[in-house]
Amino acid sequence: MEYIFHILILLSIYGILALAQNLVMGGTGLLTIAGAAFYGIGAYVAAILATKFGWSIMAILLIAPIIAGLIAFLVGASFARFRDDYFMLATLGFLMIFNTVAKNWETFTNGSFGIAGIPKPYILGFTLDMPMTFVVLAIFILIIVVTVSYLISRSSFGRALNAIREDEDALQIFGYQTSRYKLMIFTIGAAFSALGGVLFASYITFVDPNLFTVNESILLWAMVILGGIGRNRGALIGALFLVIIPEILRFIGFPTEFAGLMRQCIYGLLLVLLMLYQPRGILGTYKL
Amino acid sequence: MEFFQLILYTISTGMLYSLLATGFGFTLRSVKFFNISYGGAFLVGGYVMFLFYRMQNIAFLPSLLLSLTASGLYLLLAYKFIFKILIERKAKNLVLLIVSFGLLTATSAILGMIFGSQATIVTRHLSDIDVVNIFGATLNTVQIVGGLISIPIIILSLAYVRYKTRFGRAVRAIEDDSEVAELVGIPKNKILLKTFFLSGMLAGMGGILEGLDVGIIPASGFLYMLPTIVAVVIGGMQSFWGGILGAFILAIAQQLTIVVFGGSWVQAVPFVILIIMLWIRPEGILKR
Amino acid sequence: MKYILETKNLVKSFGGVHAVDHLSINIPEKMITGLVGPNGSGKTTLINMLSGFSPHNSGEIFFSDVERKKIMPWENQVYGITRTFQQVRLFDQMSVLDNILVILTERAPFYALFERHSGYHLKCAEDILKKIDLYEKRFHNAADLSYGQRKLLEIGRVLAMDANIILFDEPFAGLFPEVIKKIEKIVLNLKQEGKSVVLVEHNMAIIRKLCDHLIVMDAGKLLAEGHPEKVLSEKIVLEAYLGE
Repeated sequence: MEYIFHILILLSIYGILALAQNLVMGGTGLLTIAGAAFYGIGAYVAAILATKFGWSIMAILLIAPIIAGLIAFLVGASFARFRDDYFMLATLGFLMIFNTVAKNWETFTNGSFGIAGIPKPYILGFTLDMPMTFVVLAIFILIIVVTVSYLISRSSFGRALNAIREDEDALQIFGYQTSRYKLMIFTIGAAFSALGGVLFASYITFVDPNLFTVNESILLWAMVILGGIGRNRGALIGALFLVIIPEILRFIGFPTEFAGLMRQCIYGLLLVLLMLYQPRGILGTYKL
Repeated sequence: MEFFQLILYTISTGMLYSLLATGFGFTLRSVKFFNISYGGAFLVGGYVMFLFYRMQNIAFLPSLLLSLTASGLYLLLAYKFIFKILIERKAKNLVLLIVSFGLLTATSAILGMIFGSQATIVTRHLSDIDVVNIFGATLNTVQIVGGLISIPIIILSLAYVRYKTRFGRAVRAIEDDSEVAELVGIPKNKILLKTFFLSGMLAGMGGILEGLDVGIIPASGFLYMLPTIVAVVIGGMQSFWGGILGAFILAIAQQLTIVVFGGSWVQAVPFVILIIMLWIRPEGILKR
Repeated sequence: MKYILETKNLVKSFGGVHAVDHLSINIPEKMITGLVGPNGSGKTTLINMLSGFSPHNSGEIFFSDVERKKIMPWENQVYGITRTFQQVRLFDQMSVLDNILVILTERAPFYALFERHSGYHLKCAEDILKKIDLYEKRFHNAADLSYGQRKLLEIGRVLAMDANIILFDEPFAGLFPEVIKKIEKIVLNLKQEGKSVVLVEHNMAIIRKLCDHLIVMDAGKLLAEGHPEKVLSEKIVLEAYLGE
């Protein structure tokens, strides 16, 4: 039973991350590899504020998305002029810089050792220290993110984002200052990812720089593309598949590290095969 | 003599980056996307060398030839069965980027499953990488024979091939405008296959040198892609010599960072330079 | 005659070649102005500059006597100008209805976030779709339309934009006669509503029928300008076309 709640918590966290990635990459066609960076920023904000300043996780759940959003706003604004491949390269740069800072700013991040002992959330007199109770908070946050994602997709804003994915130059002709749209969705996506990061840090009670690498971002790509880009439901389906796979592998009897590598192999190959044979993913609505 | 030592290190790093950037430039200019799976060829070179030279105890030169062929074939097959199909479908660069990331991710996971995630040293005995004293400063034999002697020879012979042979003329024609090249009767497909093979061999050479010098890990493929891309972008991707110029600028900047801030910040340097460069001169320093 | 759009010594060059070469033209208000010239004479380049799609190298562009210096494409709404593309550019993986709705709704991102298209937007969009006979197809993806329907949808977008100046880049090219008639009607309607129209077109019959004013370009330069019948009988114009 405990195990099922554990899976549900992981699913909620990756569901949030995949939804955020989908808004930016699937909805807007903006290829970013900084997903893991904002996820990591959320996790590190939680770790630092909770262990060094004694903040409660509930307060951090409010502040971390704002901090990540602010950073994303500044980063996104300075990347506004880059298009396509170059935007991707710039976000890759940002991810590497985040990683280096996490490894080296030892006063705050403890460097490569990471930060341990992150507390569990405490709410209305209860500590959510069991998977059974933590899962309630995780699913609650997931529902918020799902709701907001759906509202965004159905708003005029969401429609304009889709049009940016289809033909940004043509959309500009019709009076859209597309860079503002891209900046805004980049910021929103970062804020969501940070929520996932806070949940992760508080659940695992430990963060270190190796959790937030390029591979983690590529995993998010695979989730979004597998489910079908541009669809919120697709992101959730993709997250479901790629969270379950290593658990199944472990269940069959592969050691944890090997199962991790097998998953990495699977999502790497998935990206290749999907793009070749099924670029619209499982839901099959849009392609990049 | 510490200063002289720093210069030697800079040159040896710059040489390795030059080799990688040159090979990367060949595919980048001909197919016009950032082929991240180049890092996969780097890994294949290093690990196949390990397999033949260290595990099977085959003599050095035959092992070297076998591993270069393997890494060349890796990129050739990737082009033939993946990229060519996507390019013919007129896939966007973003799709090609995603696919090449997927391929690298899968390759490094598979090699990780076979050889483990620990550093794999290709050299048979530690005495093979003896330290040599050059006017009071030191480098090991791999750095001298590989970096200072063989790489300049390789690059100069490539320049000869590129500017003096029929193959080189065909390559340049395709880089200029592949459709026109096809119209005037250049066998585009054959030339591109050869270009990818050549590019893969150069990446493999980088992997072999790295494996001999400090050992190779599955993550190296990605880690070495970073300076490679950055060198090409800052040097000017349209120019053969640009990548080499970029490689040395990068090597100098990294060495300076080590001196001023310490070794652990080195990873962030390429990207700070990259982002600044994309800002001020996205076409790179050298034009064609 | 009052002019709504003027250029003075406008220059655009690609790699040393002047695609538009010191061009000074005037577009009269509330009329249909034809823009003709052999292939490669710089018509589309001119349209691109007027709509902020690509910046000009030198010269001036005036909108009702206000100079537009560095043209940002999204400012088209402020200047009341819109266009179609010679090579149709639709939002392919969006429904026909969404292709129109996106033009009708809020431009400021923050407001757009809290806006869902209203019944009013929907009605406007549906009216436009009925005008261009695509109402039945409104839930289809734009990518699934036929060539003629795609051309019509682009014109639908222009109608939705409700701009004062409309630049049509070869809207009739490759269409069946009945579709051409439909578009001709739409263009004439726009004129009656008081819009100023610029029409790039090769078919002289259509030009004669629709245009009140004609501009002939050749090699990026102005060749002739004036009333269509008069301009089309000029010797240099005939030569430019026969020499093609």
